[in-house]
Amino acid sequence: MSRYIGQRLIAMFLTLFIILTISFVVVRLMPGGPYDVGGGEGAEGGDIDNDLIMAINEKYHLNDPIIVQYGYYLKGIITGDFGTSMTMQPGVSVSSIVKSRIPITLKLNLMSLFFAIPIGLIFGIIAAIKKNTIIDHLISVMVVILISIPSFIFGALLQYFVAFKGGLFPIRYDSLAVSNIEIMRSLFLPMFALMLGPIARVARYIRAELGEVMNSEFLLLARTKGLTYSQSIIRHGIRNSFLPLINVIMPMFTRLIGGSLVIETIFSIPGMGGLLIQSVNANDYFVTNSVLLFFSIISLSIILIMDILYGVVDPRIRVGDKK
Amino acid sequence: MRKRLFYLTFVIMLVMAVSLTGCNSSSNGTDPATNPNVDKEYGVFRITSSSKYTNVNPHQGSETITREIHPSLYEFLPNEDYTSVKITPYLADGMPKQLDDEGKLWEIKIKSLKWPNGDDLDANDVVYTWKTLLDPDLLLKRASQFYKRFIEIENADAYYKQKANGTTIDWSEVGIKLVDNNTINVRTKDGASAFDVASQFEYYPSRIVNETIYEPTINEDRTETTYGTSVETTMSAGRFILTDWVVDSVVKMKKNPDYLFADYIKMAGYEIHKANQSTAIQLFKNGEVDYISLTGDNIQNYEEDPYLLKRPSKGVTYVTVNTINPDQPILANSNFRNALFYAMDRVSMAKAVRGNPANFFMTERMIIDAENNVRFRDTDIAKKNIEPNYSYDPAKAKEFFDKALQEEGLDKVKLSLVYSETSSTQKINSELMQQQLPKIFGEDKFELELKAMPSSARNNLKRGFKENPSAVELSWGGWNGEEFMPWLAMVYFTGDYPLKDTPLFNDEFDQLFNEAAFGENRFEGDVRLNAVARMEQILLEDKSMIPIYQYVSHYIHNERVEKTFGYLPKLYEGKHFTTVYK
Repeated sequence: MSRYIGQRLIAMFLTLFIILTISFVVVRLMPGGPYDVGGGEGAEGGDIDNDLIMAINEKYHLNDPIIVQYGYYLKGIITGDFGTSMTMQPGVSVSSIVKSRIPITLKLNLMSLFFAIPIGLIFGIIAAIKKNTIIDHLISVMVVILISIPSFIFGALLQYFVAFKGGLFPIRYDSLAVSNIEIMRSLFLPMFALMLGPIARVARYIRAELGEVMNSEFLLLARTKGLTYSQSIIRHGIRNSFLPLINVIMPMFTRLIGGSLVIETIFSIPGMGGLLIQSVNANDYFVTNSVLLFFSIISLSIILIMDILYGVVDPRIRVGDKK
Repeated sequence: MRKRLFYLTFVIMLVMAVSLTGCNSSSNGTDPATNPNVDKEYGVFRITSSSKYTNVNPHQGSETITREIHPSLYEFLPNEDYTSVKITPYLADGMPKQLDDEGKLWEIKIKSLKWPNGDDLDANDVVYTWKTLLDPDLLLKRASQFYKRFIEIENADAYYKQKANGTTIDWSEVGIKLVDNNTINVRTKDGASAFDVASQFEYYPSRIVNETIYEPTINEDRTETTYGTSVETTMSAGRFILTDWVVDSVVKMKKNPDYLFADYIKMAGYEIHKANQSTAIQLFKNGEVDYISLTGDNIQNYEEDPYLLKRPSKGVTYVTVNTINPDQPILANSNFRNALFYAMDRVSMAKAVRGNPANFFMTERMIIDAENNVRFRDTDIAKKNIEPNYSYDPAKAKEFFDKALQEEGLDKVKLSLVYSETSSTQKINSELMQQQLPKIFGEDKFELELKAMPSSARNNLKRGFKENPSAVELSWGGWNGEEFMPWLAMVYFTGDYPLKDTPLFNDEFDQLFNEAAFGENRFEGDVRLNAVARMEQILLEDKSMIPIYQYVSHYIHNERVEKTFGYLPKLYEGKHFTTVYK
């Protein structure tokens, strides 16, 4: 098992290195620069002449050859210095910006998944057990609707009907809320909007997998040995359905972070969702690279955890590896 | 037993999950019971904005909040009937006093006041602020707006850029001198007027900061500062005091009772909530905010509302014609540009985006004589630049077009128009041009292809017109000006403007600009008025920029807001002089 994990870790770091290199180059090749100031009405940009541009480039090593800049970038990653924001929040370290945004995004996404998975499991198990009954059909319709409609549509509908018309929850996230109740109320609607897709996906997979497992011979053997129907499903059926479910649940987290971009915009949540888009539009190289690094680490960590969990859930994978 | 363990585990996890949501990293929560915004007479002014207020350091940040919380030497205050403003000493003790005959040496007296933390606030703070702003290591981006705007401070440019230029300039050579605790001297590169000098030190990059708070925010090698990035790293001593701030979410300020002109502030506090358009409208209808901007189709829902406000922009939006594109020599043909100019149905194009049609560059917001409140557009000489019917004449356009085709030996013209993909107004008008122009020039003779691209990419293309002239043919552009100094904005069209993105090179234009901005006789008679009028005329004759419309912002407010303004000159919407009742 430790060799298995070790191999996965090495692969992860190699992949991360490749992603960092490509993203660094791509970001530097983006058109425009940090000195582009919008013209027209409301423009606040100043007259930044070429001398000043050269001076600022010198300060941030942007005049150096790209390979030298890359060296500074890698050194920064190792030492934990991700640079300073040039345009988004001038003067503020990139790590401070990311640190200030991560908690709310993680809270929102983790909470969504935390509630979505068991609810999805319940619906999926009920649908599998009550296969081809009216209950199964209703759950299937619900799954199709929830998967087809993007989360931000639900977010906008919830905001309009439940918050604005119904007055049951705040219209936007209250970032200054102190009490637990206020925070939960503020986050409930965005969290609920984000939950719906995962509920549907989990329900659909569990229904399919459990439905197949229920027809298998080992489950028949379990029944023959004296287990009740529920006991055989819970003790044997569900566990065997879990392996492909890991494949569904873990990537859901990265998908959620990306999907929460629009939800965060609708509910005015100052999270990570919009940070990448904002940094790209603002041509803030250091913030863009750091956010890409963050997302890459999250995705690769999730894949690593998935690989490890495969070994935990299914001993055949560990035995196969030893062989 | 197993079942009990399972249920117990589930309950524990649920409780932990609920507890986690109570972990709030924000230390800026405000207890309603001690809310400093409660005021017996006036209420808190709550607005929404789609802007991200990420830095309130006057040396780096955006204007909106910086202006509200930092004091300056001079302020613009409204006149009695709120139709105009006048410049008024604030930290300064009187208007700048000219010490020489050329108008290059100025004395400004500074009052002795106190910061909220008890520190003295006097001339020492003024010099510290400006010296820090010009620090060659910090390289703060608003410095260039500080030392060269209405006046140019002697040697400030050289001092600020000495590292980049490899030179050594001592602070003593810069035209800012601390004479005593209540006096500073300013030396300008060219002669100026008292109004010019006062305007310079009203402008937001010159706003004063507190050294005790600022210094600890500068890093060890003095290359970065975090001043103005949080409530803790900001000292408020202006109209308002910053009380709560979550970046990209909400800014809350309360009225500063120690502000010297506190009687002008008729609200208890000022809150800005980040929200997109649909959220803003819901908040407004719910009574959670008092004032929102309206965009797109939402405007029509409030067109009959008596509380609707309109704010025309200072500049105009225009189509840029890249006359030096070697692949499209017809763009250099003046008859073709005349054809484009007269083919633009400015009324319908402006109506489509709820703007004002414009066949000029100087809008009605430009004031050519600040002391007498004379608007440029109201003068006779300015009126001569205006053609009837907003210069829309399809027959004339067709005539010019056919002439151009003949001269260039072409049967058909196919051009591309670049617009910003995030700008709905540009998209709408681009599509209108794509429909209307072939109808005027002939469907078989003219075709317009539209190209949407990110704003930064578009700007990059436009600014690279000299290095890569083939990259762009037609594109959208716009400009912003100084209301009391309309000639200043013409710098964008001069030959050596560093961020130039228009292919106009005209020696007479450059000369007129220099005369209006720096000329020795610029304070005499109608020198500036004539220069501005002639510069506008040159632009309209050249037609490498074709003005189309003046953008108009729309706002709606509720009944709590008794007195507010579409805009007041120089006051960036003048919201802080709004009257808001509880």
